[in-house]
Amino acid sequence: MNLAYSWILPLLPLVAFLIIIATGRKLPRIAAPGLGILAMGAVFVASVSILFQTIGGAHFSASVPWLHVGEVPIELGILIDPLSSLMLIIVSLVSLLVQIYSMGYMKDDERFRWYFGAISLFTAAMLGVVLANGWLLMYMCWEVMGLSSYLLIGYWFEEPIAAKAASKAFLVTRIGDVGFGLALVVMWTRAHSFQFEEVFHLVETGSWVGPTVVAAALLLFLGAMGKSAQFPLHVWLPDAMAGPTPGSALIHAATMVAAGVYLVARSFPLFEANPETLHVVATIGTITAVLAALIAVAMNDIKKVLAYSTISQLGYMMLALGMGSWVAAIFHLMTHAFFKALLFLGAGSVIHATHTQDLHEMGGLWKKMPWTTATWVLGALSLAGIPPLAGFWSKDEILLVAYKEGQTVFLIIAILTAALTAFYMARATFLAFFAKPGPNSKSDHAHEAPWVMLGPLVVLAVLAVTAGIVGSPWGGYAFGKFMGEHAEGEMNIKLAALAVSAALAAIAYAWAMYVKGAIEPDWYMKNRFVQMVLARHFRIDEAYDLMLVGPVMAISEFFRKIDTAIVDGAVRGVGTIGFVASRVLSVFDRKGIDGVVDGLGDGVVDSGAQIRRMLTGNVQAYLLMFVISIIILVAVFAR
Amino acid sequence: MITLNHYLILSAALFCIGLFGALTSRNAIRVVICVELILNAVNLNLAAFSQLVAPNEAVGQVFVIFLMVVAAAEFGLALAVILVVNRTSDISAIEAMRKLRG
Repeated sequence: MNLAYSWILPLLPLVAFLIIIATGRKLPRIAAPGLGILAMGAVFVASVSILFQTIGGAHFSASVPWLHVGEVPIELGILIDPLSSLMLIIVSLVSLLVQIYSMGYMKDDERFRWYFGAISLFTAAMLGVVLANGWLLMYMCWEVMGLSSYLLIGYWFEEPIAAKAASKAFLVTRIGDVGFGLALVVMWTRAHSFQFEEVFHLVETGSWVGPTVVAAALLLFLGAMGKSAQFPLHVWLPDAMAGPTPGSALIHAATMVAAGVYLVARSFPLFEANPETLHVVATIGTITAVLAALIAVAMNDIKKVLAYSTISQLGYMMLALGMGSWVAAIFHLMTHAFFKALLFLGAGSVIHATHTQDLHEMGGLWKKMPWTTATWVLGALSLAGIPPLAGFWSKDEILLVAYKEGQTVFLIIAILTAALTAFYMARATFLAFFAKPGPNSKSDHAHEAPWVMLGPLVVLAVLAVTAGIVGSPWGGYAFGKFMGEHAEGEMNIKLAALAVSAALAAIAYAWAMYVKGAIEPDWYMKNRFVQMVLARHFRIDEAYDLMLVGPVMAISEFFRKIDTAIVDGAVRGVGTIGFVASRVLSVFDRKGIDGVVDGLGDGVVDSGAQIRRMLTGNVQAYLLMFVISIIILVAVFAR
Repeated sequence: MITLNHYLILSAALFCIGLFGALTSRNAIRVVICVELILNAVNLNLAAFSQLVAPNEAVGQVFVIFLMVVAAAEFGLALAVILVVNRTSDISAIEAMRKLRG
């Protein structure tokens, strides 16, 4: 495929979306996923072609002027380089698989067509973000992505929880988006361009330095925090699980939430120019990683476990970015997209079969759902960082950069988080699939998912196992070279062994707790701290209520009172004056003007009623009147 | 010798007979015939004035010819209306037409 035509890629799903919403119910039911899958299949094939070309060294960038501000053009355009071609593959592949899966999962849903429309809109926007060669186009697509995320979270909008979660996601990510928007303002006032190449050139040559670069970088990072659910803007992501599970897999696990990481990786020269901004990124990422992992341990809802796990892994990616290695972050982004999409689709398969999301209402599912179990276990092991699965290589890469940077605190927290990750994934796996079904178990009637759902699971499972090879010594660290890293890839056996043994120990502990029964299951849940803090998501929602929502409500209540007392009073005063004046005028109107007008009208009506009597319809009477009138006229005028 | 006055008296008599008939008849055809009488009274006037006041100009005679044509057309039209009204109702045409008032 000619790279010059790659701007068509985002338009294909957009056209699918437009057809689906324009035709509505007239569209045959099967045509909605058909269109979406067709568009996405075409994009995937094109993406593979583009990837091979970029591996061969191709690079393409082109813009068209959109507006002129004075003499300066604002350009929109696309950029094909190793990073964007890799993101294209991830987005189109996961979207394709999720749509195929959704054909089974959403089969009986009423708004079946609309679901595929929203997914197509999302994919179009995400492809736009990935292909953009400037921040402005990226920002536009970024916002459309936020919109489609809102639409999918609120997909079952009849349920108040979903409607509320959708608004929350929209408002919280808006905080980050305002940061992104302000970053654009700073960039425009200082660099007079939104194009990556031009701005990077200014920063690298030293023509744009100083606090405004720091401000632009941190504001961009604020945007990334909102989208990638970084502490303290992560609160929307767990609630976003109110949407359909395959949609969550695509948007709230594999792709959209990774857009923040992509944004930082793409804007990396801005961050690199001031190392302190990287330090902020690393700190936020680390806090997010460990907090979310701690919360995930205390969650009983299978989707909530995965949601917090996603937040935690995104924190990991931010940590890698903050350590100065965007390649490691993107590597983890890729493997995470595969295994997290796999886990979410697996969870969807379980929810589809048991109609519950509570881990304690499952158990023993491996007998009923062998394929789901097998793929889930591969995904979970990959996430836990067990070699030689994909997650191990990417996680190891991140630990290695932290180690090489000499950031011991970050390194220790990262290893701790890895152990927590292994523990909560083992806990979820054992509780759902291997533990003895509890008294509330709904596993009895569970059944294996249809093949349209299992197919994507198998493909993703293969990727979750193998995708890490490209960044391993066996694959010759091809990933780093492809991304343009000059340093030779390496591995630290001791560090890897430490992380793996921590993860294995955590898994063994979970096994003893939930399968063997040697330790009381969930004993830590009885702890007051766990109950009050972890199980309630560190009370961050309450903190928001206390610090933001409460004051905002109080202020708005205060202003409402002012409004009622003063503004309304003034308005009512004016109103009263007007009312009295109008009463006076109305009396004059009725007695005076109406009197004249009505008098005229009544006079005409009355005289008409009198004259009417003469018109009897008797022709001869008319003739007589005619004759008499003529006689009178002659008598008067004929002198 | 017949003077202008004789013609005018005859014409006035004809006019009055026609007017009386038109005002008092209950039969619509008779009303129309009486209207013709009135028209003929006018014709007689015109012809007399033309002959005796300005014999060199035939203006009056031309008027008479016109009036006869108009009267013939009017009579034809009136007869048609009366026939239709008579056919649709069994009471006299004058009475029936009274029902047409708005």
